[in-house]
Amino acid sequence: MLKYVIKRLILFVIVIFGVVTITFFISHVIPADPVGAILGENAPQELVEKMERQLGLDLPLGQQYTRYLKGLINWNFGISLRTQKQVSEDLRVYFPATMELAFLALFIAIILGISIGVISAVKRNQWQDNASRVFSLVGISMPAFWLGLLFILILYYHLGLIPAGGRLSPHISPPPMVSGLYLLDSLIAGQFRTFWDALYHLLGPALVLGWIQTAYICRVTRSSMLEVLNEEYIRTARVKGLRERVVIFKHAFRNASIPILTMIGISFGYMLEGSVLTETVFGYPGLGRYAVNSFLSLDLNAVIGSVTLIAICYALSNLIVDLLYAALDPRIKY
Amino acid sequence: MLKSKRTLILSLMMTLAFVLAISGGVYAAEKVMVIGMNTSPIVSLDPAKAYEFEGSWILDNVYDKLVRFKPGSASEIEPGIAESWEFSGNNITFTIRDGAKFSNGDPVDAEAVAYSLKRVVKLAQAPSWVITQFGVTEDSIKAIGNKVQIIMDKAYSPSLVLSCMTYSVTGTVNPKVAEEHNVEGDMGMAYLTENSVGSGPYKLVSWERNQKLLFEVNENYWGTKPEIDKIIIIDVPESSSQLLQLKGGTIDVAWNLEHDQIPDVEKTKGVYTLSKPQFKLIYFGMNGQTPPTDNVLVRRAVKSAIDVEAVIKAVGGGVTELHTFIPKGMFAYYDGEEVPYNPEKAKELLAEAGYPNGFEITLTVPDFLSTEGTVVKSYLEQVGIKTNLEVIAYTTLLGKYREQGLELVMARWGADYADPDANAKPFAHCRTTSDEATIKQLAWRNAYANPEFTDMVEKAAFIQDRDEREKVYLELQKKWQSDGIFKILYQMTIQLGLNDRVGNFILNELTQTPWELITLKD
Repeated sequence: MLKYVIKRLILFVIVIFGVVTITFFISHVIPADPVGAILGENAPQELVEKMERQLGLDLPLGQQYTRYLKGLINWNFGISLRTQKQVSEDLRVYFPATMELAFLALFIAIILGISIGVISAVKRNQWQDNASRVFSLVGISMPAFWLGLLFILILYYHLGLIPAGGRLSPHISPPPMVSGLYLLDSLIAGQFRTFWDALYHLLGPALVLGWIQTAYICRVTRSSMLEVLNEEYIRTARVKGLRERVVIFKHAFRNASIPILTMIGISFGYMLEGSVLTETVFGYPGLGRYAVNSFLSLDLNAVIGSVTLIAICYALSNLIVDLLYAALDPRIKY
Repeated sequence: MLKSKRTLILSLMMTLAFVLAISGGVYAAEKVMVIGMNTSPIVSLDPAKAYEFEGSWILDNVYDKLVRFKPGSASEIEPGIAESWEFSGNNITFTIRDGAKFSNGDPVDAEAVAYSLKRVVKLAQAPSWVITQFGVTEDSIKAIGNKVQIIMDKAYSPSLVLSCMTYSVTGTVNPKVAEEHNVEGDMGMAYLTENSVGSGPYKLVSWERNQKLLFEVNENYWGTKPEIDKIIIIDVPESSSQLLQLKGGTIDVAWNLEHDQIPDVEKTKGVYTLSKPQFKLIYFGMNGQTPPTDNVLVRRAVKSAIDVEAVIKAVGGGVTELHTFIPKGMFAYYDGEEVPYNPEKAKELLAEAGYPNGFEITLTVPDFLSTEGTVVKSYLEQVGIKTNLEVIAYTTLLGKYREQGLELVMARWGADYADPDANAKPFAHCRTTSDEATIKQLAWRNAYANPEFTDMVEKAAFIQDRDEREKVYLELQKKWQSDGIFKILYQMTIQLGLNDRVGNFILNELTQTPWELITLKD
């Protein structure tokens, strides 16, 4: 097991190095003008050239790359042209916001996806199954930004059930920063009103992100359960006179859970990707929105910082899922 | 059964607590206005650095400038922190008003004003050229008693100099606070990026990037006392979301509405629209050095082939027709059109220039101007000019453009100050297309040097008599339209959505709003 973990960690470092390298070269070779993008079309040429020199953008690409790697070893992505702060400092603010959103969305997706998937498999070809398939199809087919706009239109504008966007109401100040997770920090500070307000603001984007991933988890759960329910040991369990609930959850679901777990791991990665659009629609100040703004303004250091962090999360979630396989299925040994 | 009942009651109580918690008394007796805006373009709120349109709009209300425009006007100057001024040759002397204080109570004096201007020169950030273009150095700014004297390298036109002094870069910062936060000689720039110590009607209380900016009344403000206690700008990047939040009552002002959303606002009860033409324009340019557009006949043919009315129709309106680089509302605007749409004439000119069958050329446009690009392409092809339309990201376009690498281009331009010089320099000033050029702006980027235009631009900047100056600009505009490389497609208009409770929201052509004059009904 330890050998496997070490091997995976080495691979993890190689993957991150690859992501940084590819992102660096793509972002630096595109025929664009990052300094001009920040300074605007009116900026005098001399100023653009001066800033390029200051940022080292006039150096040969190889030299820029080695300089960048040296900084990266110390978790130093450089300064964001747009926010004028260290990128690592920005990530410390925006990353927890996305984590908070992703975890709530994942929670919604796991609860709903598994429940609906199991019901759908057990009630195969009945109305519950058909309804769940429509629900999944809508979730999978609908683009996140469109779903987000629909939510704002219906749940905010017509029903007044969710706020239109943001992370807190305009009149509420953020809690003192400890973890950057508003839900946790507000509880630590004893600011319950802030806690509820933060939770209220998470509802819209979390439901959108959650619905999309619910659909995937639901489909995998259904097909995996259907496969297991046809196995002979399930028939044996039923013949033994076990209660249906025990058959489904103890015997069938546990054996069907490996693909579901894989899907959940992948879903977490998708959530980080989906947050890019969802956060923009809801004006939610997380890593996704930070990444979008950085891409649009060619803020190269911020782009590499955001992409690296997302890649780390993706690789870590896959690693955790792989390790959990062994816990779920005793036959799997590393 | 009992257990599930208990669970139900508990759930109901929690829901009730949740709803009460989030809907309780919000602003008490304070008057608060909420603005929905895409705040992502704002890089800094330090007057020496801010160069974005949204940032300047805010800074005008946080820092006092030497002079400012009268509310709603972009031509009539009124006193700011300077109560009077006097020009003498290449000197300008401002008398600083008595009794003005910064938001922290420190007095605003001539030393503070001089420090702020020197700071702009020393930090040399993007907007600094608005001041340094007059040959102003740190040594040429002096505080003498309650006066600030600025010595320029030449005697520029007073209206030009004063226009520049209304720009947010001249905002007065508190020297004490700036120096207290001096980090490695940045004169407090890192601190003032997200904090303020100005003497304007409002002070910046907090800025949570990508979330909100909170402003409160500066109790020490010397001018009209604002009616609104707090102004909150919340980040709403999507215009469709802004529209829904305006209609839903969450925000009082929707800043980034699209033209096609305006009818929706107009038919909604309780909200209204406000629009104002801006000193911003969309233009079409040709390379002045590479064939065939180095030939003036070809350039006239291309300009004759484009129907700007069709372009305006295609974008769906909400913009103003314009044919010259001086926008409507600015001094010396010329309302004629020297090369109007005339496809037959275009064909004749092409034949005369030696291209009876037209030619092939590439038109590069940014993604947000793809509609305009498509229309122009279709009109050029009607006279035989085969046009390859290249739609690319604006940042990519800027990179190629700065290297003088485009054949035909379409882009936007906004004047930094309300004087014809602000647009004459970029559009007409270029003595050489080499790296030796003093101004490397739009004419230079399109590799078009015209000594006659350049002389006229330089001459106009120094003319002291207003009528004489106007004459030079009018003549320049006629020649520029006829022989130059540009055709203006339209002048842009800003369109806002406002809640009925917001009143006296004034905008001028430079997108300046005096917040202290805005009224808000309960």
